[in-house]
Amino acid sequence: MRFGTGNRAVVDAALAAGCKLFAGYPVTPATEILEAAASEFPRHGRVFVPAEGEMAAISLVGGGSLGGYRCMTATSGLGLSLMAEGLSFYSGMTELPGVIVVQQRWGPGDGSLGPGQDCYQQATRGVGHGDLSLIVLAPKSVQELADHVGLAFELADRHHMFVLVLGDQIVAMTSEQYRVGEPAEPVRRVTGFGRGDRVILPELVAVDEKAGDFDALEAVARRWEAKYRQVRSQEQRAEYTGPAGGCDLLVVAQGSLARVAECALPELSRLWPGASLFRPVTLWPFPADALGEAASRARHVVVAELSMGQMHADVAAALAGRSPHGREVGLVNWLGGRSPTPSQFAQRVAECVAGSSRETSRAGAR
Amino acid sequence: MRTVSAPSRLVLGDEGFDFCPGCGYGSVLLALGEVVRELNRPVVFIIDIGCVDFMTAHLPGDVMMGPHGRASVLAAGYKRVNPDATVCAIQGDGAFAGIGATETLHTAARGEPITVIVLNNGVLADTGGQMAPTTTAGQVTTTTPAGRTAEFGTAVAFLEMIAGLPGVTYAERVAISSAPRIRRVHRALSAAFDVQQAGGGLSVVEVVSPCPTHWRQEPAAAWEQVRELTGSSYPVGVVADRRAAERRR
Repeated sequence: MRFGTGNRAVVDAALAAGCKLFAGYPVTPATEILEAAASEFPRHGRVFVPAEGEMAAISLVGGGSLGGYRCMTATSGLGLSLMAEGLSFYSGMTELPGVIVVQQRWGPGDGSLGPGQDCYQQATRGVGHGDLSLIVLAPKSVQELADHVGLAFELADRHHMFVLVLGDQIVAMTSEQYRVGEPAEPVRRVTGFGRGDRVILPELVAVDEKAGDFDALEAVARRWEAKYRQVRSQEQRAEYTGPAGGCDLLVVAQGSLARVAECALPELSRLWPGASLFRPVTLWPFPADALGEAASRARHVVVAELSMGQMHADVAAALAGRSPHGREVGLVNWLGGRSPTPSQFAQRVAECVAGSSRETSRAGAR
Repeated sequence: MRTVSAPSRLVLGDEGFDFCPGCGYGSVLLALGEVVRELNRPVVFIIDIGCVDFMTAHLPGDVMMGPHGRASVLAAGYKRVNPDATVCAIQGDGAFAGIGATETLHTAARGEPITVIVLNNGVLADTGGQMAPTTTAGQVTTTTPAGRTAEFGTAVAFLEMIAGLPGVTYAERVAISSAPRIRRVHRALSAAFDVQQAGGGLSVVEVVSPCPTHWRQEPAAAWEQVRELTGSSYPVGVVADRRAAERRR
């Protein structure tokens, strides 16, 4: 058992996963990952590069992955924007595996330094341009952040795509106990690239060297479409906390805020017996089926998040906008880099449900 | 002396090249094919986006096309995890000195032990001949229809700008403008790959190459234009050579 920040746990987990290369550029609140990698990666015979920016960092990761090894970087939303191009090329077009830990801070542009969940939309829509998706994991604690780094490398290798571990300032900088394995020796993937067989990558380039063979291009695109469909059906992950068979009130929250929600459940249960929590663990693929099941008997569904409703849109889409009792899916949120205490959380959810009940009774009176 | 007068099937293939008539890129490919055959080991190519893409199917080794301007740093990532591999990035001048200038500069600063081939035709040719950082004063392009003026800056000789960095072990500029100069391309590429084999830092070869299509010239006039450029903005010759100093260490 170790004790440390989520950022430090990321590096320990990466070494345990046999990660060979770390390249990155500092950005709050992910900088500590870069600094820990700077000492730990060379100490364990791995490659560390303090890149001149995020675009270089993602390309060093892409190059290392092309070279057959597990590689990673870490950043925040600002840096993720700069990595969009690389993700489109390396994950989308070339199907290279890789891992990015994204510690979100709230806000557009430079934003704030407090926690946020407003890279949700960016992350779950593939980040980069064009038809692509990335698997997005949302850890709630330091332990889960470490576990997700290991899982991310596995999923990346299995599906030949980049996996984002979408944390935030809270999981990044909170210190708690965590357990990770010992550093594992990096193992080279069998790739078929680099032996001199005149392999051309990406496949889209290889099949259409003369430009204009749209049949060949579509065939590749259809294979990708099938791959993403398979990931969507195989890799949805979620956690339900509450009585089996449904509940009166279902709260939907993810990441660090889901942990606050867990602590708020006893208070909410006093108002709505059996108040439950649904926590998407994969944000893409979104666990729509499990959500539908969890919400099947709920009178009220309330989404809580640190954004203006980015996940709310996915929840509303999965439930066709309404709880089974016809009430609109509620939203409570905290913005500007703030996250609530459990009692603040419970209070806002209670207000939201009360407001929605008033709306319903008014509609009934008319 | 070896010449490139008998085209190598290694790069030419059955269907020949797709370059415009008078383009210099085919000559570079033929020279590269010879050099790689002499190396007698697999070379991994990272190719940028631009007219260099027309080389992809002809390159004598495995090749990956990466994002525009990032070929050198992508190649560096590959080499970092496979230090025994021979890795070569191929970029146009727009990628090298413009959109990828940051990545090129710091790849040089770190002395990444790869070989970078830059094909400089002074325009963004693949998209139809727009102004590039390398476009010379007065040069007409589709985005400088009255010729490049000081308002849009002057030609960037990026090779000289990075050559002062200790990480650059070898940098040479050659040109496609005469048979002897094409033979020099072969020698420069050999020298660059030798640096990589010897464990040196970055080796860069810039090839000033005619683009009759976007220069709106006959091929012969374009060759003459390259000769003029090598007497003004882009002088040929070795720009950096730290091989001896590195051997002493």
